[in-house]
Amino acid sequence: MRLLAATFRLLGFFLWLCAGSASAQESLDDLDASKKADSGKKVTAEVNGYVDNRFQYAFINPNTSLISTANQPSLQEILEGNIQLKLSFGSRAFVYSDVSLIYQNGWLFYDRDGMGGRTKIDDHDVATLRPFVAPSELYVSVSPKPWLNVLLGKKRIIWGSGFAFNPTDLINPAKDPTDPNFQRAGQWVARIELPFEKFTVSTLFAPQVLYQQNGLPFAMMKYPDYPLADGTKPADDAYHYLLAARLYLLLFNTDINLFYFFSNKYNDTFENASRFGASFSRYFFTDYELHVEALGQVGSGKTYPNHLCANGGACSLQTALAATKLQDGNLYPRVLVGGRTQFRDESTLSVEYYYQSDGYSALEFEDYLRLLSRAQMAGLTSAAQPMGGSSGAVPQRFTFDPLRRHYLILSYNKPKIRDDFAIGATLIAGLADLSGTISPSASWNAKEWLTLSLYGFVPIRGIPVGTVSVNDVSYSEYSLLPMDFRFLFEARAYY
Amino acid sequence: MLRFSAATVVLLSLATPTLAAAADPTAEQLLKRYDQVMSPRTFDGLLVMIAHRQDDTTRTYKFRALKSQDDKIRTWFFEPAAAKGQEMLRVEDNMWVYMPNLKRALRLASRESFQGGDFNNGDVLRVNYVADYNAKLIPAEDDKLWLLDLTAKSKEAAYDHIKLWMSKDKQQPAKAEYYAASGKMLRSAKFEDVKSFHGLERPAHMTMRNELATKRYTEMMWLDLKLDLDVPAQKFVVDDLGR
Repeated sequence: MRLLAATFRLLGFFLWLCAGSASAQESLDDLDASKKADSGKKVTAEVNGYVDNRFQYAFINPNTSLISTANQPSLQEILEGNIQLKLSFGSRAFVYSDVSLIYQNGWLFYDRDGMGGRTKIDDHDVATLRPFVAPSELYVSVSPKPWLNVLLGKKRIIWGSGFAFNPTDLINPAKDPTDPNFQRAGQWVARIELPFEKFTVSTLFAPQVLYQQNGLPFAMMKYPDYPLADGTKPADDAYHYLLAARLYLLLFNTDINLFYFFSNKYNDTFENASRFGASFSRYFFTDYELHVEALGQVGSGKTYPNHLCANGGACSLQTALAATKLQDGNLYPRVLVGGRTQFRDESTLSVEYYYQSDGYSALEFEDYLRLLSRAQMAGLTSAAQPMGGSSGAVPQRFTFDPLRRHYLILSYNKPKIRDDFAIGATLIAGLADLSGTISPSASWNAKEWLTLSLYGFVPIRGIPVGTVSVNDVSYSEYSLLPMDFRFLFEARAYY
Repeated sequence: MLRFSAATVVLLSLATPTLAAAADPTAEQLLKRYDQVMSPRTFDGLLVMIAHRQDDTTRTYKFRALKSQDDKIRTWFFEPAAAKGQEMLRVEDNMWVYMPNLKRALRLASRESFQGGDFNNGDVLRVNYVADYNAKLIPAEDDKLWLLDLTAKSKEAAYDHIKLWMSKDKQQPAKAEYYAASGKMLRSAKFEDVKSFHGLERPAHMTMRNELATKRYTEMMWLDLKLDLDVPAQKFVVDDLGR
């Protein structure tokens, strides 16, 4: 009851703020009321956000995957209340928060029946399906001079030019390429930015969040010396952080970014490692946008299967999958090239090709599958967990985490099928085996404040030419997804 | 000597409108006048855009537009709630839109639709007809109007060809037709309700009709407009979007 009362009080406070911000703005002087705060007399608040309900059904097929589906619900409900609050202190400083309260649950679980079919298992508790708070952004921004901005807090900062995917984004939680609007969460950072007319210099320090509860961190950069109450021991005594510098240039009508990253065990296994990146974006022939985004790194933080272990030799859990190319001295570029255009009927087409030189070769992919198969037979595979929840980010429908080297991402969106109806589709294809996913969508802006959407998600298992056989079963990269199809109905009301 | 020069300048400047009224303006002068009226060198404006759609419903957008120099303009959207937080920026031939859901800016093309209405981005963010079009005066059926025939100088211009009518008495835009390279009329516009905004007389109401879907049209109303501002250059930097 106390929680309910507190919730209503909070809601009342935000409605009061909304009422304040919704007052009619019929002149520029109304809008500029916040400037009075320069004299210290007034703080202004702006509130907006949305309430979003997603209901999802997935046809779980445990036999297509080498990973247990015991924690993958067929039915899933996610109710999200989002509040974006901006408190301005004059024209030079503001505090911004983008927070979601998420209730979620899942039902109808299946696992293998041992005879090539599936069997229903009892509904049970899954840690990542519990309600949680996702503070996607929470930061203070101060601009003491027009050419100086200081930012402290959690923010999603994206510098690269890629549309569906950003290979130079070493900072943020991965986004869903089938719906780039979906993931809003950033990382905790301290940033100093010097913007000028034709160029910007940014420097950034990001300590890694090591432990968090309900989206709020309680250990950053270094593990505490003591174990957690649940028995979790400190993973190491290293400092986990990332330093980044970026130079942006607007040259010859082109956005050019140059990046430098220095990181130590920040979201990967690189230690005291330097990485470089660049991006480019420009319109050609009036209507055709072209972008390139590239990351250069010496060594790879990816884990690779041990060939002997995968093929029946003796091995341990530590060496079966290990970052064996971390210090091999080779350069492993990751490059995304893409373009976007809008046609006369206002439909938009985006095409992107992604290459990662540290992706698995055919042999490495086969070894990876053999390892999974061995682990499955030994009963070592952990049940796949739905994404989100514990990471402080919203639950992901799909995360692009490519295993191999060549990918194609196509997105098409056609608005105004009839005034408020739009359709779209996103295709992600692994070019090594022509497997992938296709995600059609249809949406209806029923009101200015209400959008109803229906999303499909269908894995394409690939063609026989590129697939890899393990124990007489053919696998492709996207055949590993433990479902035959999924659809999701979403209703989002803005306020 | 100094006093004499100042007086001469004052007298000359007083005489200029009389002289101008006596002679017909050239196409270039009318085009310059259009730019002065519709897109002063610097301004801060509050606008409402109402898109009337095929199914007779409407969508209303409220936004602020800030312009500096000839080729820098930035907009902030306040309404509807779904568009709140969106921003647009134009610097020279470059345009970006900041999407709060994406938490980032994306590049835009000049000819893409402005918020799904019947204006395109160039209509709102790139009003610099002197730079973008060659103009010639052609005979108008209505003797109270000048008729200008505009041809795009480059592909960056919002349209390939425009017919622009301006009133002879106040030299205000009255109506316009916008054409594709094929000669097909894409849109037509009406300029109405001439008002004074801090000394600048200009139409406060503009209606853009989609000639390809004739039930669709979009109104743009100027609620307020301030002129002669001193805005820091950093307001027109892509990294400032979202701040």
